[in-house]
Amino acid sequence: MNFDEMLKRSAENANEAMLNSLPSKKECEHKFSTKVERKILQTKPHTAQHIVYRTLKQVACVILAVLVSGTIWLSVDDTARAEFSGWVNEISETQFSYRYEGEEKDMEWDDYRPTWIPRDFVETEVVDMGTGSVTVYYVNETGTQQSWFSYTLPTDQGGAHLFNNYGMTYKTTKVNGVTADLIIANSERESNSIVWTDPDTNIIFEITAFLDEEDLVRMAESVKAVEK
Amino acid sequence: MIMLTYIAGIESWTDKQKFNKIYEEYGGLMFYVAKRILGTDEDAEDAVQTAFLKIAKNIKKISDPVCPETRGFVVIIVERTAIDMFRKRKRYTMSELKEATAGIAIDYDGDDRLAECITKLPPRYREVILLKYHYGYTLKEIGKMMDLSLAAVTKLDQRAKNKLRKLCEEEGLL
Repeated sequence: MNFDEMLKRSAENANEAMLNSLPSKKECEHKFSTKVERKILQTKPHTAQHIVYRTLKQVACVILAVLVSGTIWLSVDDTARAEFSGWVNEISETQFSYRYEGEEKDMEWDDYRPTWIPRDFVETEVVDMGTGSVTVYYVNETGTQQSWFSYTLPTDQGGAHLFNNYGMTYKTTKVNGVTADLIIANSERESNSIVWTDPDTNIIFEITAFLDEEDLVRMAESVKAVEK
Repeated sequence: MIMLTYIAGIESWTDKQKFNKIYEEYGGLMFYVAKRILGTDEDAEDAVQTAFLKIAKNIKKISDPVCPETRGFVVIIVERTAIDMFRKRKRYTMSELKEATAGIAIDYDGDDRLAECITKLPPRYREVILLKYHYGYTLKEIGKMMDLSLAAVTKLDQRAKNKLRKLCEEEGLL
């Protein structure tokens, strides 16, 4: 039996152990606040996506798609769509996402780092996904707040940058003259983010940190190519 | 157009019934899991609400709203949601972080030592192993649930298995 087959069998036992470690329904009854209960029960299951819905969604996505770095609106024209390539910002009920659409570029690229970081930031880890996405993690001196800087090449493999759309305010600003998106948490207990693209390379950058708007922009504007 | 909308309405109605049943049956359990991680009623309710948005996205994959499989699935979803919410907090102590990110405390007293190792994994690794190997979700589907790109979830799966192998070696299983 290979490892994957063993895993399948044992995952069942581990799952059962997890379920047995949890209290019964009677032991954990909870009356949700009316506001929360109403919100939960008003959630519409998303998977009833019939043809009409999907078509409307696709059209809406194309109409709403905006290049992160600019204000180019796409037309609902097949040719234009085929020729389009860039980072598309989609805003759904649950999340903001940035996905690369279009032809992948075979490119050489630099490594990037912010040249200004807050005084109490300590770099802890650099994670290179090997797919054109690199993330640098920082913690503050007391180790209680984690922040990160990441960049992703314009490739489909690079994947998407996703942000919860819950309790967040979305607005735009400028990073070295380029339009950038700010995702500001409505609660002080959550981190804020800034996302922008380099118009020359189409690389997308993100900083998520417990910083205010001014410092996020300052850190973003300090990002430079460094030697690999 | 009218016909399609009508059919979709029936589908939505069935899914909505399923969704409501999950809330009725497991809402309290989800709140319990979230509160153990986040500490306050308010935060726990927020986490449950966010977890239900994720469940809504996957409602079609749930055939029976009240069964052990669904119970395990919703617990994994709310655990992940609550831990992610905790990590985004601005202030916490290291001991609070350790406690919160430990997730659900699992007691294992069986004789399957590999299963025991799975229960000892950090929650994120345990979740991806269970979702993939027990619940049968693809990495793409898991990525959507966890808000991760396919590349990121593939890496997570590899790391989870590497960590598990290491644990197994330490336990003398491999």
